[in-house]
Amino acid sequence: MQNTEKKELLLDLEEIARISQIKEKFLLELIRETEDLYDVLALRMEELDESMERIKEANFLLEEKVRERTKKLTQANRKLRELNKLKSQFLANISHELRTPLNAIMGFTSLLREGIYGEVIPKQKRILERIHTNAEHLLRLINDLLDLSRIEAGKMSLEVEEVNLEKLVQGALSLIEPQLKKKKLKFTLSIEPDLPLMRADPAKVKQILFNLLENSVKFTPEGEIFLGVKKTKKEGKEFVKITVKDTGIGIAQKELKNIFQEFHQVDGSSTRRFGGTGLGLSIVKKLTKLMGGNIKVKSEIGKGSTFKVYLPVKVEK
Amino acid sequence: MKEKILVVEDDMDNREVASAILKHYGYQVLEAKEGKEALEMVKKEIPDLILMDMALPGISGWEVTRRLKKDPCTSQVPIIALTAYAMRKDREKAFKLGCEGYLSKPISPQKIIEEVKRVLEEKIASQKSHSSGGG
Repeated sequence: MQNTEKKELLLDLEEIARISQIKEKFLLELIRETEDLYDVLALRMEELDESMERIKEANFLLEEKVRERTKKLTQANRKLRELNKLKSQFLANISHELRTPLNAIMGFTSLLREGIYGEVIPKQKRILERIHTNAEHLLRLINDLLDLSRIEAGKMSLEVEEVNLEKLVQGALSLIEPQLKKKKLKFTLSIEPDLPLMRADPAKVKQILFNLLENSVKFTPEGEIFLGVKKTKKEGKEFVKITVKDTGIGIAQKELKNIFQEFHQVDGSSTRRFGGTGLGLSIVKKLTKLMGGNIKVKSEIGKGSTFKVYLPVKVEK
Repeated sequence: MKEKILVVEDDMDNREVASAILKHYGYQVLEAKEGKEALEMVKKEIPDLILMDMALPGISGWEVTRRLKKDPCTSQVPIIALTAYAMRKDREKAFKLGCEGYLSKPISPQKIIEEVKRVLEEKIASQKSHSSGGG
């Protein structure tokens, strides 16, 4: 071998040694770094595990809380339903208890008035009539209260049958006539001649008619009352539209939304001025809803009010 | 003397109201204040008509009516059902049980006398047609 060759070989070997040294160093570095990375990764994994565990725990606690709340809500709900039932039951009982003595008062008053316990002079007879009227009013209030509680408790059932609307209107009119006459109000009736045969609860339709008329008569010191009954269509369904219009004192716009609430009379003093229980319209609204209908009201202070009740021609049970 | 009517009513005052009206119009009146007493009285002496409050404590008026209408000895005695509140369901229930008449409280002299007369007249009419049909 030539000297130069040897030298080159040596140089090469040196170079190789140097490179493998670098390589080794690099590998060591790589291993160390990998190990570091691995440590970091392991740490992160651990942290992740911990986080997951915490999330799981939180989730569990949350679920537990939800379960607990749901249970509490269900319990509260059940309790409310029970209380509501108790309330209706209580109202039914108390109504019965209130009616018994009231019936006796009305019975004895009638007996006295009719002279069954001996002759009464005209003045006494007038007073007895007033006692009777007041007792009747009280009885009506009790019956209205009972009706409302029954509707609220979902105990008011519909007795659907074929209804002769004209006959029902006449029935309601005969009840309101004395009040119309007493206040000397003009009355106009408009019934569409060929009304469809209605299927509904006749007693409840009559009550709606009577309560609306009574409300209008009550708040109309002078002028007239209009009652209209006609058929109409809404969204392809047939309805009977009952309109009661008066020229009474009217209701302010901001009060309109409240008039269907129980015991609500626009002016607190109006109960004294106009009488009534403040339950009439509330019952109308509830009965209308029960039969699948709806009610609308328009009014202007000093000019009068218009109530429109829409009842399905075929009421479903 | 006019017909004998049994008034079954637990409330003393309401019982007196019914009795006073009936007596005033010349009827003979018997009184019972509960279902058991009414059943015993009817067994002893069959009245011409019964005015029955349906909401009696203990054996209810409904149950008393059911028993009287089931017994051949008393099934012919007309019963006017009396309920505290005018409910069509009660009215229907009463007629289904076999009651011949129905009144809701408060009872006025006019209301009670009209119904008593109607039921008694119907009873006489049905007896006549029954006996003429039988003989």
